[in-house]
Amino acid sequence: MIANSSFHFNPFSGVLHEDIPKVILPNIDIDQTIHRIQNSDSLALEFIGRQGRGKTSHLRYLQHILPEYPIFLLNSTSSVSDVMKNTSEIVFVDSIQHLSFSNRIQLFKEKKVVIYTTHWRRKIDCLLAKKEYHSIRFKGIEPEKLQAILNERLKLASGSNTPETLFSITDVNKLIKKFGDNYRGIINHLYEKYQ
Amino acid sequence: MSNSILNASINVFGAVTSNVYDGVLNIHPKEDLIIDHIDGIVYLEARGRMSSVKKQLVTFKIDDRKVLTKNETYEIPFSFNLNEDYIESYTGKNVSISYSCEAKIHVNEEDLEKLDRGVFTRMKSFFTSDYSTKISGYFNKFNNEEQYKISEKHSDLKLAFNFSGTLIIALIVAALYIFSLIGLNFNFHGFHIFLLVIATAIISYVQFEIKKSRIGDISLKTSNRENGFICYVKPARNFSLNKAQIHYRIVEKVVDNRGTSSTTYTEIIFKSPVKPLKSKGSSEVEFQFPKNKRLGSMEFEDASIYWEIVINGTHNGISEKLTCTIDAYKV
Repeated sequence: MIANSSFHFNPFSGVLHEDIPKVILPNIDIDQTIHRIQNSDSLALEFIGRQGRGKTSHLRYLQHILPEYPIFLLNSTSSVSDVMKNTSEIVFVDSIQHLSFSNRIQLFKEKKVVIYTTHWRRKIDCLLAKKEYHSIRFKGIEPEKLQAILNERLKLASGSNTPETLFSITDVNKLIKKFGDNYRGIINHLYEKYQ
Repeated sequence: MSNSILNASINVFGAVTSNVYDGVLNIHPKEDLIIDHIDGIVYLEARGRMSSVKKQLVTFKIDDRKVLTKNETYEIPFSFNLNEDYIESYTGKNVSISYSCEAKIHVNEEDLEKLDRGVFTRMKSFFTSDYSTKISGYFNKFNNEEQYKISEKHSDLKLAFNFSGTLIIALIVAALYIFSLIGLNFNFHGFHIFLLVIATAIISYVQFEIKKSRIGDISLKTSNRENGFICYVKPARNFSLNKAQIHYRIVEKVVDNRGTSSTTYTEIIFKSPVKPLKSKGSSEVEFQFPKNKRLGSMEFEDASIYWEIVINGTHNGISEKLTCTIDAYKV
């Protein structure tokens, strides 16, 4: 796989929110998840896994499908009031670890449905908040799926359905051998090659 | 151009004057078509090892109602204003900043059947039906200013944290623990590791504060010169850094806040020649600006470029570094 200059931008740069549906191949049953979100009176839906496994991408994708519910991309300066001030009963929260234990319980108590990403299980928080808890683990990688994701990125950046080069299954297996199931590691590695 | 009913391409040529840009939209229909109007939209895009951003900056009209004859080629010139204050195009190691111009061609509703679905986008707004197809092209924005200037100011240089010092302390703490484990004959416990990490952090902090007061203060005043700038470096009386040298560098910084962890990427994109400082008393050092005129200080979303003055030297045989940032802009 050789980098070429026929791209409008680096195919492995961060994806714009509007482009997420074009490059994601969901690991989860999206229809079932949406049904669960929209028809539950009390739910904490957890996306759990190590860094770079696609938790945030899936969270943003779901919110893209359900734009009526807000998403909060938390960082070290975020506070629970940022989320609480919003009147929506269903919220998407990325990196819930930036909220304190008591703030998480407050959040689970006040919002009907919270869909969030985390490195660590928040089952105890949900038990204390009397919230129905459902956890989805992001782990593992399938070569065919990775190949499709990488090639979709090439197509998006080239503005063509037939870019000059595409990833073969051999290319993809080499990447998996080096980075395992770390999608972010793979994307960052390819970013350097294409920049 | 694609092989569809309505082929189009767009080119922006660059700034004609300081902030007016010229471009041309080429349209080649394979059927007779009526165009209601054509809008132009300019976007600023920042893409890289970070959350990419696309911001709409300007909207303008490219053309009004137009009747297109099949197999004719139409060149529609247009121009738009782009505020000079917007940042310049940039391609670095971890981020690229670019501009794109999009033409939104609104085809008359009665001609929709002629268009192939592959290229056609049907959009509906709240107020009316909006039928359009989009075509976009990228262009560079570079300001016409020829010279850098730095903000002239007084500042104190700060001692950079030296991780090799922490590593040495960690090794000493670990060695002491192992000797104690053998000599005092107590059992290993996982909690000890936690205590050792805490001890290393506290000792490193105390050692850093002591070192900072021992090295002493050093201040900097900057002043512009033609094609460069002067650094007046004034050490405090107790300042103690051997073989001190000064240089400046330009750093690209990108904070990747995607996902559940944050990572910062820094890349030195320019480094000036290194110049010695006097061993005692104040020094006056002149630097030339870089030949590349597209490296001014900037900050946009999670990406930034900053200029940094660096003083290197040794203290008790260990390399130390003091830094402070300066703002550089173009005039």
